[in-house]
Amino acid sequence: MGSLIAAYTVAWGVLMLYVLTLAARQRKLHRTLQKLESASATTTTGPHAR
Amino acid sequence: MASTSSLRSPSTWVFAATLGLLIVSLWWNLVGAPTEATMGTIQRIFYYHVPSAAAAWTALLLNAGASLWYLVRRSPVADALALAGAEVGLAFLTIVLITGPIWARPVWGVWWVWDARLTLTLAMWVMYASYLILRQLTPPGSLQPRLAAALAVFFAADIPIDYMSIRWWRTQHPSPVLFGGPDSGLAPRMLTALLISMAAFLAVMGCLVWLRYRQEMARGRLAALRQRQLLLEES
Repeated sequence: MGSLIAAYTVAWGVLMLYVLTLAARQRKLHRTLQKLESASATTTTGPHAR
Repeated sequence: MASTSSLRSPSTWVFAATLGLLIVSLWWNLVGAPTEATMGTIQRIFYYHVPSAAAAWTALLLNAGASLWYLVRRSPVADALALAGAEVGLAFLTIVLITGPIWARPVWGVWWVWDARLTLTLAMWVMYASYLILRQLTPPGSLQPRLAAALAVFFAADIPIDYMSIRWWRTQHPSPVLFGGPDSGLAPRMLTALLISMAAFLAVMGCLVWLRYRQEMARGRLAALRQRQLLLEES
């Protein structure tokens, strides 16, 4: 029974870990997007803007 | 309003259906399928081990197909699909390589034997791990996608050999229960459990590949925008 629980836990654990890495990468993408948005706002409204 | 529109999205329903299928398969694996006479409860590991292998092979075949497509057309869509296939395939291969020894220890008395199936699967894990490391270490925009695609097509040769290994050679690994000839087969309720589990794992694999593919496409578009923004700031 212990082996069965271990095997099922490993399977779910590996999948959960992968989903967590996807979520972390998604957050990183979101931060990059926010930086780009603020940089683009500065470029269009900043001192060089016409 | 945003939450309402996201609920209407087809992908939300696909993800919910996949989760439902996983729960149904868990019931079949633990309750619905009868306990095997010789091995007892430990045989139920089979309902996760075999579908994980099927999901891994399918994702890695997708990687090979997309890589071939990339070599012919140089499409960023193909490159993103290849990356997604390799990552998800490697995750499922990891499950195969851990659940296998957990089953083998009480049944065979050893965690591992160097038979054809086990060795080829381990070699496959090393190949695709090195493929992903190569993609991480080489700078994007250079020869990286082409080199990765060529390697992926070469590595894909291991997939049919790994699949056929228990048919071609006498191995310690159990012989196939599906498409394995007149001696293969399963009790009807065991077969139902296996097929439901297979469908659930393939659906999870599909969802993960789709998510990773979309993420990679978004990353590529953001990198291009960032480049444009830098040029704009310099000018």
